[in-house]
Amino acid sequence: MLFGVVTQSPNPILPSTGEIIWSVISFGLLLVILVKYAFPPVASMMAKRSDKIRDDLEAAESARRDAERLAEERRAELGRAREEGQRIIEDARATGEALRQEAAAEAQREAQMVREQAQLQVAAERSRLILELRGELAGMAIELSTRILAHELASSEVDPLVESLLAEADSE
Amino acid sequence: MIFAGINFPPIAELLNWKPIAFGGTALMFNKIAVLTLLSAAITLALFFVAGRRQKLVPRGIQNIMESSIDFITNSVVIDVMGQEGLAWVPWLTGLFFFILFNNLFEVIPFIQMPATARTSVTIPLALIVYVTFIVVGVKKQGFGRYFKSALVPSGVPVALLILLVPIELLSTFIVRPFALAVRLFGNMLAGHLLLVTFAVISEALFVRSIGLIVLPLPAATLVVLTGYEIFVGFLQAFIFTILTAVYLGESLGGGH
Repeated sequence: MLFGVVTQSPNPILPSTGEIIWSVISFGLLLVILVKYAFPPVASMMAKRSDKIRDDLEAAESARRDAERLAEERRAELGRAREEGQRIIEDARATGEALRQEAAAEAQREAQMVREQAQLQVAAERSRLILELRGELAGMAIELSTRILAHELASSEVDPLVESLLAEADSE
Repeated sequence: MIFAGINFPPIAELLNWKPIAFGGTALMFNKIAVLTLLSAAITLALFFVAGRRQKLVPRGIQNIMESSIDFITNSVVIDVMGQEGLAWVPWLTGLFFFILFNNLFEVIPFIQMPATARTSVTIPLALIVYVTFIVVGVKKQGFGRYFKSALVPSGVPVALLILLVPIELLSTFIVRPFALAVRLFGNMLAGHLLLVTFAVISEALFVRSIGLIVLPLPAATLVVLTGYEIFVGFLQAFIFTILTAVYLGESLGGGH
């Protein structure tokens, strides 16, 4: 059959009551169950995740700031330590120089003192020897005088006596 | 209808489904009722599965559902309604998936019928949206202020209001629900008829050897159209949802 309508049906565009009721029931049930029970767990998981991501980002940012602060502190400490080391080296150098100069001055002083003591000792020894010599000369003069007087020796005999006495003194 | 040997079923046969249960009563239960219930059940099942397998790094269904919520939140709600509309995300997500699955039944083998190609589905949906945005507007702004903001555009000379108020009345309170329902129904019905047409032609050519010469064309077109209808299914669900968001946003924010 060409161009023939096989069956007469209700207008396909018009809604059917049963379908309307069931579609409203379906959609209503979907909304109620979805909004009350099915949607919240998924949404809460998404919120939890975004919270976690935000927290992690904040923690990472804070850790980065801490690391930068620590690095800055380390740099500053290193700078201070370097300065301190330099200062200590310079102090040590200055102290060493001072000690060296002091030691040299002390050595000079001691050498001077030793020299002076030696001079004093020499002078004292000399004085002592002069005194001793004087004493001996006096003793010899006395002995000579005694011998002269005791033996009443002639003046011709005095000279050899004096000579022998002097020779004796020299030999001593 | 038989045309040149091709047995093309009448439109009524493609759309009016026989009762499965409660035949002859107001609660007549047929294929369309099964499909609407099925789309609600699939949506709920997907959300329950996504909510049950909560993982910090989402995979599979959880990933798909979360991406969908993200899409509706950012591309529909935030863009159209602003932060104030965030409370409507579950509602709009439900609407989107309900329409989407009802649309996609068009290309599911053995079902091959979009429930949204029936005005019985699109008119109630449009009416639910219509009632919702009016109730929200009245609750949010008060009866007088809401209707004033909806009907009287600001900054328009009084003389023009005589012309504009009836136009606004017509466009907001009469054309909107009608357009919502007809747009979805028309697109899905047209797609359904296209697929049926090319399926019937392909089938007729299969059985007639002479038709084998041109067989690849309708069959290939059928494949392409199936892909296109999947796209249309997503697009129409998105359009219905975003228009609902626009209407709700106007009710929340005073419109104009």
